[in-house]
Amino acid sequence: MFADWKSTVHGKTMMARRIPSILPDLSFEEALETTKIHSIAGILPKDKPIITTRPFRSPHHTVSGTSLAGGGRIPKPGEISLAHYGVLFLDELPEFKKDALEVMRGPLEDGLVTISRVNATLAYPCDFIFVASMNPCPCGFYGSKEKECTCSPQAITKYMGKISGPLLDRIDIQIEVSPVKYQKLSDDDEIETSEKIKERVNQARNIQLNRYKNENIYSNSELSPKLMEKYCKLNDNSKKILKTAFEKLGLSARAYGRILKVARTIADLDGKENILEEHIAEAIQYRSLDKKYWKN
Amino acid sequence: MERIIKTSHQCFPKELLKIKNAPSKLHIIGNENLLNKKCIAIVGSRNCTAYGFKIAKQFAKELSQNDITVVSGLALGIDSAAHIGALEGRGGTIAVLGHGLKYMFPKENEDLYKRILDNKGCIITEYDFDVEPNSKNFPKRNRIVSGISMGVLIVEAKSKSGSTITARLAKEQGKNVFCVPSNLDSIYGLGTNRLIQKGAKLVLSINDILEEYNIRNVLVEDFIDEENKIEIKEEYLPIYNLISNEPININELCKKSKMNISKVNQILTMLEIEGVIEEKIGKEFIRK
Repeated sequence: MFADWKSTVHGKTMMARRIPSILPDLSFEEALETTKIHSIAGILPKDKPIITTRPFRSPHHTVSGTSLAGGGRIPKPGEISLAHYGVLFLDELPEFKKDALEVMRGPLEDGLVTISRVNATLAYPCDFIFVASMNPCPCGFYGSKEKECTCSPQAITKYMGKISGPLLDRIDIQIEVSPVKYQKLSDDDEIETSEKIKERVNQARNIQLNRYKNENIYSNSELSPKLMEKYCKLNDNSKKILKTAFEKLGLSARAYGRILKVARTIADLDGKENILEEHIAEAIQYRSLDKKYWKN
Repeated sequence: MERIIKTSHQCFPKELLKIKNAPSKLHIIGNENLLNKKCIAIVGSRNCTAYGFKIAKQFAKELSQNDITVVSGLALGIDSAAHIGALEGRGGTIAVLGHGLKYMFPKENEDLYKRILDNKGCIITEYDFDVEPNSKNFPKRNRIVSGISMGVLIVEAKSKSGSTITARLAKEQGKNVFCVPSNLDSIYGLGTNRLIQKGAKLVLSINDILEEYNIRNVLVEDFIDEENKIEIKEEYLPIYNLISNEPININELCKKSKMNISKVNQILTMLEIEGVIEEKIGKEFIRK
């Protein structure tokens, strides 16, 4: 899961839409499961009987809780299930209805959503990457040096308040991006291409598949607390870093397991068997919304 | 609780008596002994930059450590920074309100309000207990902010703002006006830079303020010690040296240090944990 925010209007949506290009390939089992859900929802294209690429769903912010989670007389899968093994992207997160957002809390944790109606009670899988974007304040210029933010402190608090702490805690990677200037868009800096990144992602994913072949899971994100003890061992130095980080940077206690999982993934991308200090340090840096700096 | 001090009262600030249209009485909560101490006012924008906040806090702290009382208006931004900084020294701090003591305004500063009182500071106002906050009254209280002070330090002000009003009032009252310079392209520095142009004293450190009143800075020796104290691991230096008092974006750090983003992230976390740098809004970093 991942959220970013920035101080002007361009860039973050574009970034999110590029995510499918670096997602790992869909395995055969995953493809079957995703196809089943799309078939139940009745949206499987006639000319493409099996889904081979990871789904990317981006519902509009007027979406209701029911259409996110699923529902109907005979419950149909909602957006979160249609994004199974793929990406659910919510652009401008605070614009969504609060109750719609809170619906996702359970499913994000369990990878499963249970819908009960008079006719049936069904559980649909929903193991998706949750991607969201937002501005720092309603006008979008808070923290900008070029243009003055016109929002009152109360308006900013209210805007941020739309995203509950528990939901924010479930977002593993939080990145702030600053405005991209026009000249910079064409800047010929060395950039890693999507193909190259995808290669690295696939490598890391294979390491995980191998590691968890006896555990009945595919990836780091599915690690239970018990498995985490087994696979996310920390050396003394890393433990110390994590401890001081919690004390000094004001991270919430709920973030602990998530930082470990992200660190595990960073170590995999690095090709290292154990989580090292540098992996923990990097993972902590991705939780910037936790730090209370916007209170100054 | 609330007390009323008339002009005849021994605690009524003597400096304030000298100005024209001085208030006939002050409502006060907290330590009235501060009112006749040496005071410097620190004021500025409510919306301020990370730089302004930091500088205001630092100057307030240093003035307070020199036993000078810091006066401000308990607004958000620079005012808050001034009070917060002053609480770290021994000089105490006075908040001058533009409304009655019944109200807590702005709400965000409720905590600061309590901290000022807990740390032998005081809150004063010329308005009766139940006068509601009204933005019309705020510029008027600025004459008290400058009136009880020996001089006014302005950190970041937009071209037309309450702080420039305070500067004008201070000048009319015959007080010194000090300004912290800002970048030319910063909208938050237009007012202060203009004031410097018109003759306000440009301040590089609190020494520039203290010398006007022949006060010796007791901190000079301590400072050198503090500078030597910071020891940064050699592998962090390439990043640490790029970070200054001016916020720098993480992308720029990558570019200038020629390190990849994950390495930069690691070092930043370590420096943050060691407490030598601070993250500001927009993934920007400054020295602490």
